[in-house]
Parts: sequence; C-alpha cells; structure tokens
Amino acid sequence: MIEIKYPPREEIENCKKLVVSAAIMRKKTRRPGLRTVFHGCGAAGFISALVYVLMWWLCAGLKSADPLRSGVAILGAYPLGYFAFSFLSVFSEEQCEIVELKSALMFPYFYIVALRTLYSSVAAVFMNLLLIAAVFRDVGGVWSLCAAGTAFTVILAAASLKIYKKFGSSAAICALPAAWAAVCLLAGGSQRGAEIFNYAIQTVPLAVHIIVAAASILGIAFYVGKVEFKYVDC
Amino acid sequence: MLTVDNVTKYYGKKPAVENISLSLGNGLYGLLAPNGAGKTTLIKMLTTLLTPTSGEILYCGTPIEKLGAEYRGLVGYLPQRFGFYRGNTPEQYLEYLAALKGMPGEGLAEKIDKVLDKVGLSGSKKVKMKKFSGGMIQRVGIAQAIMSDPKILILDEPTAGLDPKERVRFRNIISAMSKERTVILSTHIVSDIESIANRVIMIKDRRVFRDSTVPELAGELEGQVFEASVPDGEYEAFEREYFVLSARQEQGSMAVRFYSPSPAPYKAAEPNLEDFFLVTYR
Repeated sequence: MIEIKYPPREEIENCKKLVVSAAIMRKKTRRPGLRTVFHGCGAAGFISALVYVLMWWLCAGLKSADPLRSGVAILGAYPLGYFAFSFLSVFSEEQCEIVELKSALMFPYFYIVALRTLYSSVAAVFMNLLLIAAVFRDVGGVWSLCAAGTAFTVILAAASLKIYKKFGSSAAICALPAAWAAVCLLAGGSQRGAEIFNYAIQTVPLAVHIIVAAASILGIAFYVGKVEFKYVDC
Repeated sequence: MLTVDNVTKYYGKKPAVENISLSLGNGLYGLLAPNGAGKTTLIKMLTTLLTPTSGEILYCGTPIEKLGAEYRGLVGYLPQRFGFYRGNTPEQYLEYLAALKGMPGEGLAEKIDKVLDKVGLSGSKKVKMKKFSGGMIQRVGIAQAIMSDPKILILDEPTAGLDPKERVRFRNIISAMSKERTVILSTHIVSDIESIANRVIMIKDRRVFRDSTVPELAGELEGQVFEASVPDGEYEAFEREYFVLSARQEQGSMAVRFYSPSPAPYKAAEPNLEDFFLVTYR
C-alpha cells in the first residue's frame, strides 16, 4: 500500500487563490510605457546625440568629394547613432549593477532591452531620414541609400539583441559596429567593394530597397514580439 | 508551496550545487552557509536568473520557468549587490521598479510612502540616492523587495551594511511578513536568522547538509560545548587540544567557549546555532 501525502487543506486553498490572483493580474498586465523602457538612459541619450551630430557633420564634410565616398559615408553613418545609444544604455546599467535585479522582475531586463532596441532603432531611422532629406538630398541615389541604411540599421539592431542575449554583456554589442565599419571601409576603399556598392545603390531599383527596409522593420517587430511572448506574454 | 526537486547546477564542468531537494511553505527559511558554498546559485535559480542543469523548481506543482512572468510577479527579490540609479530618489526608483513589477499605478504613491516608512526612509524619500550611506541603500533594497507584497520573498545577504538598530528593525519586518508567505533569507551571519527562522537550511559540499529548526540544530551539540577560564600562558596549548568557538580576554586569563566531541572536565554550556555553524564548517 503506497501512502500518498497530501498538503494541508489550507495550503491547497492558498495555491488555488494564487492561481486565480495570478490570472487576474495577468489580464491587467500592460506593456511598459516609454518612460519605463527608457528610464535611466538620459546620459546615454545625451552622449549618443553628440556622437550623432559629430558623425553627420563629418559626413557633410565628405559630401563634396566623389559620389562613391559620399554614399559610403552616408550608409556607414546610418546605424552608428543607434549603436552608440544601444551600447551606452546597456553599459551604464551594467555599471549601476541593476541588471540582476531587473532580470528577476515581472518585465525582465532582456524584454526591456528588446523594446528599447525596437523603439530606438526605428527612432534613429526616422531621425536619419529627416536629416538626410534636409542636408543630403542632392547626393546621387540618396533614397536608395536611406532604404538600405534603414534595412541595415534594423537588421543590425536585431543582431545586437541576439548577441546580447547570448553573451549578456554590452561589450558584445561593440562587435557589430566594428564589423560594420570594416565593411564600409572595404566598400569605399576597394575596387570590388565599390563595384558592389554602386550596383546595389544605382542599379537595384528603389522599390526593392524600400521593400527590404519595410520587411526588416517588420522582422525586428516580429522578433521583439517573440521575445515578449516568451518573457511576458502581455 | 515552492518545491526544489533534485536540482543540480554546473558552471561548465564545475558543479555549484548538487541534488538539492527542498519543500518550502509559508514561514521563514534561513539559508545558511559560508561564502562560496552555493547559496547565491540556489537563490538565482529560485528567482529564474539561472536555469538548473538538471532537476526542477516547482511552484504549486508547476515548473517556475513555465509560469514565467506570473511567477516573477509573485517574487520579491533583494540581490546580494543591490544596484540603483545614482540620480534617482528612492521614491522615483521605487516607482520605476513598481512599473517593472507590473504593479498598478492606482494607490502606488501611498504604497511607496508606507514601505519607505517601514524601512525608516520616509524622511529621505526626495533625496537623491547618491547621497545615501550603504545602510540606507540596503534599506531601499529591502523596501523594493517587499513593496509588491510578494508571496515569495528572497533575500540574499540582506543585512550587509546595516547597523545593529537597522538589523533589529529588518528582522522584525521580515519576521512579521513570514506568517503569510515564504521568506528565504540567505546569509552567512548566524544572528540574522537565529531568532526568527522557522527552519534553517545548511549547505555543505554543494548539497543540503541540514534542513531543520534552530533548537534541533543546536541540540545536536548537546553536551559537546563547554566553557572554561584558561590562564593566558596555557591558552595556546588549550587551543591545540580543543576547537575554540569564542574567546574573551579577562584579567590574566581567557574566558573560552569551546567544542569537544568527547566529555571534557569543564562546565557544560548551552549550545547555540552559531556553535553548530562553526563546528560544521571548521
């Protein structure tokens, strides 16, 4: 005869109450607002803004040179403002030692970083579009450059999120802008790279670039949605 | 009911904890072991920060990783190193953490006032935390852990940096809270839990070594703890013969409390949890 030990009645009732209250709480749960997502990112935002201004000022200086260099500079600069913010915001939180606590909360740290990645990469893309429309609209193939820059920014943002998940360190995020800078230097500095760049910007139709950019934005939104489903299920 | 079912955690090839099994209902559980014994690893698994290599942790019969956000919403956690934004006031920081805990905004300000009052920080709620002492920061940490009225409260070395008065206040808060919830308090300071823990879980060699009450643990040393007054010149020889638990200098002699597994020709003393801790991890 096997003796089965049941928990005391009071404990069974407690567990029932908890399941019900958790279900009610879950229905009330809403996605955290922008204030929560970007809390403590003021300094990172300020430094990123300085990097952003400096970077586009350098690009403006290169504008009068040959079209290839102008194009490569614009494409190269496109995601860097986002990357500066992405790295600095995570780095500053690591320095404050708040990642562990936040990772144990209902909206865990990685989910907040994912939302921040989505919002800030899209915001960076819009800022770039406005700035390019104002300053660089006379550069040849500029709208193809914008669409390609948008696609690369969000794809690299998604990649940085994946890398951060794997390595759990802001240092890992630095690998991507470094790789991006190397690719841009190759595009601007080698014969083969220049051919590929010119083909991609001048020959591939603008519509294709726009479709790829739109698909990339949808892709990162889908990925962040998956993160949300896994970690929070809002 | 929180159940730890045969949990093992490896970091690479190195085991951190092995075959841990526990059953935790309402009450205060002291997790007692020296530094590096695996307490923090166990705590991190209980807070979903780490996933066990094998075995599982269940809450009311459901694996906690399956419950995900629901489970994390029930847990209040104070990590060993409590970080904060230097530019925030405690009020701002608690508001922010409340948002991350999914707490509703309605009545939040009153709740924050109440919890800051509980930890004795109501007068400093608008002061930036960069001006706080270590003890004050730790009290903010305790406030955030209890703010959501959690069903499970997990505190990793919570009294670090607290002065004696604050420790007493902390013990009273936690003791009162443990009536209706599971409180797990990890520490290597025996006095943190001696007077308030319903059960003490001791980890040794990466495994649960004892899971018992304070009187039961202390009782294991019954008749093996003694007190003696040893002349100064004989103290070194005495120390070689017996395991000294504490020694106090008096005029020309040492008042010694010591452990001897076999009967000793000295006055027997009432053993306590600290004696058991020292003898276990000597």
